[in-house]
Amino acid sequence: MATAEAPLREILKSISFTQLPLRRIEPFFEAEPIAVPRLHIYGAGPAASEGSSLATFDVECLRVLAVLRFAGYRFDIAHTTEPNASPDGRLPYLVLPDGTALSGGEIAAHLERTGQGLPPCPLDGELAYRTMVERCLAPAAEYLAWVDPVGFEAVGDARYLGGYPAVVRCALGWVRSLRAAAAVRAGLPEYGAVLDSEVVAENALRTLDSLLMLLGDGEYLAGAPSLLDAHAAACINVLLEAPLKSPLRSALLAPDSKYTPLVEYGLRVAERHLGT
Amino acid sequence: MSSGAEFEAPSVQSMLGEAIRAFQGGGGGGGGSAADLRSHRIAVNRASVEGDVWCRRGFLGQLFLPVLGAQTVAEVVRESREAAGKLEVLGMASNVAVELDQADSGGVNVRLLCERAKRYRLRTGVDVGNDEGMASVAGRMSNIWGGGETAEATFSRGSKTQSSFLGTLTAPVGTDPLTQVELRAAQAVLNARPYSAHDEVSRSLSAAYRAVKLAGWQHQLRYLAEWREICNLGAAASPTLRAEAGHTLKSSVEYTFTYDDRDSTTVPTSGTLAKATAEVAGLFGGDVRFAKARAELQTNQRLGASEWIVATGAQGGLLWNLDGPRGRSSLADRFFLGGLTTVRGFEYRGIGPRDRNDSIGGDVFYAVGASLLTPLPYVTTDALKGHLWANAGQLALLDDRGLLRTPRDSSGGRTRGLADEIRRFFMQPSVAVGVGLVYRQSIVRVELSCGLPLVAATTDRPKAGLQFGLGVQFL
Repeated sequence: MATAEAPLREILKSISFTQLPLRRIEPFFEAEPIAVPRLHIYGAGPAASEGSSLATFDVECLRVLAVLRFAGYRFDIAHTTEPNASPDGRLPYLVLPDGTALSGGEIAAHLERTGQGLPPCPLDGELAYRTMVERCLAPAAEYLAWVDPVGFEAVGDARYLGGYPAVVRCALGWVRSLRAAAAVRAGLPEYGAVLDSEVVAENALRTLDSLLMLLGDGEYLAGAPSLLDAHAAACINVLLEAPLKSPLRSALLAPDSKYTPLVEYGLRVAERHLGT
Repeated sequence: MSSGAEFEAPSVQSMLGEAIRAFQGGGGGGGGSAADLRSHRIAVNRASVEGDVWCRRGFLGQLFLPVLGAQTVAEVVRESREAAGKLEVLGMASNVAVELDQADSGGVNVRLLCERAKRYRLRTGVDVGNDEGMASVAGRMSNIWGGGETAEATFSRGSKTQSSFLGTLTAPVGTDPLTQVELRAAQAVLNARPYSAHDEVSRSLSAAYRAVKLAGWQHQLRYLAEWREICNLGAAASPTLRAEAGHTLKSSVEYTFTYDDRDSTTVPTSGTLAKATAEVAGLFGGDVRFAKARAELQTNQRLGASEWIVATGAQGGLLWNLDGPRGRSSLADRFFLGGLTTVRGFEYRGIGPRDRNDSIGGDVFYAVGASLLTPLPYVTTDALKGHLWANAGQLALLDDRGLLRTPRDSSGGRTRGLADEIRRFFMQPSVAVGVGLVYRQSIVRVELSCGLPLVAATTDRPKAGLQFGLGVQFL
């Protein structure tokens, strides 16, 4: 009701026509419903897996896939090669039925919120081992895909960028390669601006030695599926599956290799948890 | 907006007076009338450019060819004046004066006396587009190679366009400033929020041929290579929008035809605008293949001798994907509808396909509008007018999520066929009416409207009440 103190406000309210009828019609568009949470990971789909049983060729995607499978979380998989679709511009990301998209650490936080997080790891120093995998083993896969010239052609360019036109592919590949080199180098500051494949391989082999000792005769590194197993198994499987010869792959698959138990561990985790 | 080159028609009468004086002074035609002198046969002995101006030799030869070929006094005057006008319009000279001198060997010498034109310009300012204001810095260099070529670089930032760079190199075809070729390089980052939770980055190279005729006709043929990126989606983006994210490369040929004889581009009171654009992508590479057409028609008619103006407008467009029945168009190529400059009474991009808060755009659309501009009591200026309007339009996708889907009832049974859906698309537009004010400010039209949406889809964003906007082109 208009008052002497606020006549203008009431006049403006009356202009809004909020009380007048508006006829609503059915829209000409129907969005695709999402019934089950969907994890979007790198890959061109099962039909293009080149004979591999892994759901994806990317370390981070395999790691998150493993965590969700370890937790018994129910979800679908969608393959894509477009990281721009993710909230933070990196794959993987998880889309919930209400349309919310989660990426990175938000996925683990979502598992905790819904009571489906992994149980605490009984292994002492698990964080140290995870840091070692993150700092020395994962960069080896990153280096192989984006910095090593042969690896870039077989993995980075062919798998990650294969769906783009040539001009876009060249530009994105160049940018991604520079970023990967900077990221790998940043993780190993003691080497400064100089970094070569031998240094990367040496650090990775030292990490594999530690993991081998930790594994012993067990089925999992920490006795039960853990965040450490998710990351370590993802790195090992990516190194094994890469379609080119690398020093690390040769060391892992040598006939009398001491890493055979570790290879069997990686394949075991892949068979149980990392398939499509 | 493109600056179609224009110059005044030659003032023959003033130049004839000078010619009469010259000939009478030289004893060449004492006592003759202007009408007799107009058709007097004469030969141009020499044509030259003098003053602080730089012209390429080949350009000068083409510029003076019509002058040297003139055979009567009227033709000499007209062609000389036109040559002078071309130099001014192309930015090669300023204040060009035409002098006709009697040659020793008979005939006449034509001299164009030129003053220096500003060759370098730096401009800062605020520009207005449709539903957007932008601040810009532009540098311009004229007459680069002595043939009227112009290079310009513009940096701008706006309410929707986060950042934009545009570099153009324009050159006349021959000496005609109304026929141009243009090379363009551009990069822009468009922030589509809050209408759609994404940024669109566009990097493009284009080459265009443009011809403007004085009768209001304009043709443009353009080749465009554009790298588009849909990115920065954030957590709030809908799943449909996420499926559109990524990179696409468009290689297309586009033809635009425009006929515009309106007396004003912002608040016309008479005349017609007809514009049609056809674009085909994928002929020379790129990963998007489509055929796209868009047409616009606007008529303006004064009611008798009164100040009442009736304006009607119609727009339509079709984007046809050439990748087969399962192909989907790219978000960067689609049409959007809604807002003060398209269908009033709705938010910007407020009509058509929408998933949650994201406008998805469409492959086919139409919009019609009718307006009545009225004089206002006690208002003496004709720049401010009353405005009654009615707008309607609809937008849809041409894939299995849009018109080609099969709507089902709650039990899962099929409810409508394709023909029914298409009929419904044309018979059930989103509609709004309203009243307001229109103000013509230089090259911008300012509108303040009170809108009343009458019909809207459940996913549309009607906007009842006051709407303020400024722009150049309105429905």
